[in-house]
Amino acid sequence: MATNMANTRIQRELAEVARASDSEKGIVSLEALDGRLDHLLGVIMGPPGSPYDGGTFKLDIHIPVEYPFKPPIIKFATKVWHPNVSSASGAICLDILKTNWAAAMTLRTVMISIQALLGSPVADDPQDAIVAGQFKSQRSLFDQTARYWAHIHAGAPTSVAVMDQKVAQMVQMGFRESDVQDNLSWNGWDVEKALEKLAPG
Amino acid sequence: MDPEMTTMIDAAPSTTSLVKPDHKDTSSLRDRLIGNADLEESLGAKEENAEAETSLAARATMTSYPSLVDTSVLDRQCWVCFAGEDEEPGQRWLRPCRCRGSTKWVHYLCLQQWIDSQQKGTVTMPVTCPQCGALYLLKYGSVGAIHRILDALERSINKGCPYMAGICLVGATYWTAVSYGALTVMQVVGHREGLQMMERSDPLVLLIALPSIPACLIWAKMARWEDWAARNWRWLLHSVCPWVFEQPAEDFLFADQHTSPSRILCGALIFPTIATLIGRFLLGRRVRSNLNRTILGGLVFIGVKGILRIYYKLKHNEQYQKREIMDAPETRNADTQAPDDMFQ
Repeated sequence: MATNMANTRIQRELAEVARASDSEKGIVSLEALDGRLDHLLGVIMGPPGSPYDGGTFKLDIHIPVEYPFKPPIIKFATKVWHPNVSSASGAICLDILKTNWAAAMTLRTVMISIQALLGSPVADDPQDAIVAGQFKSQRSLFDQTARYWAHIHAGAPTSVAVMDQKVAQMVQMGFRESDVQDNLSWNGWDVEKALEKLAPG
Repeated sequence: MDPEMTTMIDAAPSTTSLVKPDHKDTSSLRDRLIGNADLEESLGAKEENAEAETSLAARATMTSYPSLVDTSVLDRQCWVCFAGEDEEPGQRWLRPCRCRGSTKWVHYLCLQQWIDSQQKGTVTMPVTCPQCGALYLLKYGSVGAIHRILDALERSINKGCPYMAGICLVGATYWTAVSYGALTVMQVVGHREGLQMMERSDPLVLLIALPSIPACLIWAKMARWEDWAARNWRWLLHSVCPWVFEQPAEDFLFADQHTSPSRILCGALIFPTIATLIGRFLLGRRVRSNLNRTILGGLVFIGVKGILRIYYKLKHNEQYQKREIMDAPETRNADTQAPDDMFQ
């Protein structure tokens, strides 16, 4: 019974997203993976005017058997630098994905909420303590790091030159590019500290 | 009652739920509608009746805004399963809250599942609409006074059990302490003498005195006099025989050790047994009184153990003070030779 309802509802929601006017503009899109209705791929665009502008962010969506009585399990498949998203795992801290879920919400409305969350972070309810701390105390460095991550992971057009230089400098020392990007970001772009984390001792 | 009319009404249950709030009993609703559809004269006759007034109002809504009612019925969609009007035929529709527009309608069975998922087994828990916050009107069938009493009983038992378990635990600990106290008394003063002594004393005093025996033992065990003596032994010797030992010049660093709670507990509780054994072993025949023998045994044990412990502590401390952190052995030669070895 429950499985049936989850499947039929997801089918209807897929149709709804396809019908909706946002999908024509490419703001949100949704597709079933391997024809399965319990694992979907969502795509949202970075909201204009935010550091994520121009980026394409993929969402990994799992539908529980009890759906729509339990919320969908959603995390970012694209790496994001955001106070309410884990920079390591992509887990999202959003109330409607937990206690405030209601069956009347749809994957489309949830994805639009996640997109809105990208545009207006809530630093008081953080998922990633490092990012949230930076958001509060060093806002411009946060904006730059978020834009840099949107460029390298989500294909946003503009990069940040200073950060490109620092990464290139450390990659020349023989470290992996992705490790360098992560560790520089987690250490506030302090090359010394990042080096210490990458090659302790 | 006209049989044709009844079947017609049966075939259109959705219209009835539309006109009337759904939490009302359906059978009385149907009766009312039949009465309503019968003829105007019956309405006129029942004008003072409150029920008839409501059905008149319902009829008025139907007649004055037919188009509005019709369109909302046509494109209604369940906010749980998202099925539209004709996708799940035969389902009962509800409009259980203040929501308007597309989220107004829901299937009866779907809402039941949603309420189940919110209540998680607590059938009487109130549930609100997640969109508009309106409290769902849940009518519970009458199940009788006995069920109500049992329900109240069930809830109070669930609430009281953690406290009861706590009280049981405290009680069990207390009675264990009493038994331990009694056993210790019998062990220390002798089996028969101990029993006689306890029989002669006031039970109330026993109930306080017996459990305080293990408590006092633990409390005494926590006073670590040997540590203090080991730390201040030079001062001690000086104060006892100042003509032999000079006043110590300086305090020295002392490696402090923590004693675990389990060790304190075991040490304290086993102490009377050890005291009895040592007393019996050392002064078996020479001292007649069990109590005196045990006290002497205990004192010997404390004294010997204290001296050993002070000695151990001092040696331990000496070891600690002689500790030196060394440079690593030179490894440069080994490093450079290793690759050569590999190529040879």
